[in-house]
Amino acid sequence: MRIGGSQAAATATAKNDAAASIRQTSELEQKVGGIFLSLRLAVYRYLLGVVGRREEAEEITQEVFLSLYTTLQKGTNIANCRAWIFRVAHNMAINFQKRPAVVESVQESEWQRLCESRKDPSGDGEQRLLADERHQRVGKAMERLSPQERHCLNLRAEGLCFREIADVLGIRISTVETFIDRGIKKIARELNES
Amino acid sequence: MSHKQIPPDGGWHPSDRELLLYVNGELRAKQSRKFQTHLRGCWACALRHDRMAGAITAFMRGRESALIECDFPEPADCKFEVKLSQLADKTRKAQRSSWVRLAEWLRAPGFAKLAATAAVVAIITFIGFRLSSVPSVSAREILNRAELAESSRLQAHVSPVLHERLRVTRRLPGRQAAESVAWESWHDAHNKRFSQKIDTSSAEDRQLSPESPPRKKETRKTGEVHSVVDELTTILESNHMDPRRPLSASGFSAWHSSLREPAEGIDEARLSDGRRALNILTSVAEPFSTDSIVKAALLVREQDWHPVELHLQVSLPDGLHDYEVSETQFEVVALHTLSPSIFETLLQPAVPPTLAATPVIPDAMIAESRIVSLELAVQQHLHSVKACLGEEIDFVRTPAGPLEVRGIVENSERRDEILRALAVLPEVKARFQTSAEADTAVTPSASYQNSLPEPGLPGDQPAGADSALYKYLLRHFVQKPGLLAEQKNQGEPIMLSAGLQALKFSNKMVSLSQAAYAEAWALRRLVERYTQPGGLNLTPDGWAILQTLIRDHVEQLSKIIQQCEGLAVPVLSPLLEGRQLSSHDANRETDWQTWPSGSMRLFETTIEADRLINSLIEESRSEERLPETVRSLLSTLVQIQREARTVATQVSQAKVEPIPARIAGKNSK
Repeated sequence: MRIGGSQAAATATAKNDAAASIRQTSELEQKVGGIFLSLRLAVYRYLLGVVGRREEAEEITQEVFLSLYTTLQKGTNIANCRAWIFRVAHNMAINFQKRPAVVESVQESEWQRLCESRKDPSGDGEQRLLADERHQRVGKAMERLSPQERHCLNLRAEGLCFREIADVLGIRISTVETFIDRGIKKIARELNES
Repeated sequence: MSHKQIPPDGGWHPSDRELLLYVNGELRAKQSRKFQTHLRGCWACALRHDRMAGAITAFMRGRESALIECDFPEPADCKFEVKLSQLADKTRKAQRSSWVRLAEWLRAPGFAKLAATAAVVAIITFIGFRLSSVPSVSAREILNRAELAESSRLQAHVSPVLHERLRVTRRLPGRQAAESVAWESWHDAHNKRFSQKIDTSSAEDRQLSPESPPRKKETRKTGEVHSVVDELTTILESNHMDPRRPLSASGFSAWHSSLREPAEGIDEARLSDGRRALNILTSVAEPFSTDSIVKAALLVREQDWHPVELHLQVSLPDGLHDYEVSETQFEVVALHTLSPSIFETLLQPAVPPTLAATPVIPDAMIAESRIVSLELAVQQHLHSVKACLGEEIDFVRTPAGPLEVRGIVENSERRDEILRALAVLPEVKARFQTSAEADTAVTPSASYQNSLPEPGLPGDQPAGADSALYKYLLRHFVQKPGLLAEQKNQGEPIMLSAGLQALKFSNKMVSLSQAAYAEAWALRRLVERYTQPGGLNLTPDGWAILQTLIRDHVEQLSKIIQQCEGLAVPVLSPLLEGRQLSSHDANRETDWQTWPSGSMRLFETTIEADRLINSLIEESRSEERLPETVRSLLSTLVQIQREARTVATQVSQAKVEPIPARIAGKNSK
């Protein structure tokens, strides 16, 4: 690049350049803000299922969307934004889990909490017992799921199709089918055994 | 007992994998229909389906209950916004060009600055020479910026019309003289209209300066297309570029993307008015095919990322032809500022035959929201022929055009019906195959073939004939014969046997449930496709279509459920032994905040009703539990009606908000 024309012209050109870049940055900020608002809950819920603790899930959720901003800022083209976000979330969560002192899976604690909360004295006792029993059984079945089965079911529950799940977890679609099939059968077996 | 409604599928039963794909909406349309037909007749498979759906529902319920208090905390929302803002600020600071700082510094008063200025200029000039013509920007980035800039220009108007004047010059091999024409065009982005005018100053014209007016203007007569333009549009078309917008970043980008390993470079240039520009140079390795572009250079003005000149070298049978397209005027104007005659009479017939009367939205003019709106227009036409209820149809954005619709349908009649519906959108390519063409034969699972019973023959009892419901229905219809009486052609009523009435009742319930299931999935697909990610990013037209589609599906679903209630209540309500359904029976809240979440809830409730109907027909072996299942079903039907009303109201009242407004709204909380 070289300086051409008067100082005033150079100043004006440079200011225009800077203004254009800054405008683009602001647009990107708004775009990522919008994506965050629409997907943060789904990502957070998925992460809760993987890392188990709310604080970490919150933290990772934020990191995922900041990472999205940084990636888009670099001009990288992201074809499927939702799948990309879940993939990054999943990878961050797995990296988090590799750290020492990971606490127990959320399912167990959340199910305990849920079962406790359902022991409300109001309502029909028999029905309540049945409902509790059913939830206990589902909870038990969920504890029996392998991590991969749980990831697949949780991603499916957040609305991802098989292809997207395969993309997020880096596995084949047929493997996703197998994991989901096994997971559902475990739950069905638990429900039907009673 | 008649079993005539069982499909003649030769003993085929779906495998577990196929059932899984069906329940997850992952099955191809033909297979899906085969399933639906099969499940209607085969109660054993309906039971397997029901068990799987039941397990999924249990999982979802359990998960939802576990996560019920796990909303993303508002402080974390704020934290994120602060972090994002800080990150963006950091980027903005980095982007604050050193040139700006230098320029500001240069303006500062003081004697020392003169000396410093001289030194700095010397250093920068030296560095400039060393690093000349190596800007740290890629062709892709320049093209992206140019596409974005054009979208922004178009979005500045409600009904934008893009007006261009171009000079197109052709140089033939072995000839010194160049042929040049002026090409003026108007693109009405909103109404998808295109008009053009071709002027030629002379057949042989060496005066190529964009500022020089043609020596002798001659408007082409109706039906004539100048050979230069004609040839160029053919070349552009065959190279994935937009034939109506030769000078567009998106057209260049589409061609660029179609190349395998192009050699590319970026040069800096100065325009004749002194403004800076970047030249994207791309060349293709041999061998060249006929009509292919072998070299191209797109000159993009740096100030506003606007393409101003295009050079093409094209391989033709008689050698390499050179084309130069340079812009002499460009503006985006509001439609109302133009004379209506431009699009009514102005040389419409002069459009090349391949493009005549084709209201095209060129790539460059289509912002993301407009493509989505176009897609919604396609959805609307598919909806008009009920092709939105589970047939295998995909939307693909191709470099050659804004949108391509692909699908596999059952037979050629259905294909023709869909193609007729889409014919009104000529800018959309439609490629449909029949199932036979797609060769999607289903291989039945041997294990299930062996383990499941053969479908019943006429006169057999239906599968599930020992179910509690069937026993109840038999008793009910014995007591109330003729409730489902048919009419003969002569109008004489036929009294059906209790068994046949029970079968007809079950089949009708399953059929209605399947119809509701299809509507619910159609609703869910719309919500998932057009509300994520980033929220609604639609033009007003697109939003109006989406509203209509959502309302249609909700209303249709509501009608089906009403029919279901009309059928079920008289027959099944005696099981409740006089206890009317109370409001407590259908008391799930309907106070969700947005119509998308309400639609998803409606979907779930409909799936639950489908599960209950299947469960009622197939699974309830014990008559003791029958009243409870019936109560759940009837209350779920009531709940669906309630949820449908709420969603219909919400979607009617909803307005599209731009993303910044949504963020501002969130911040203000």
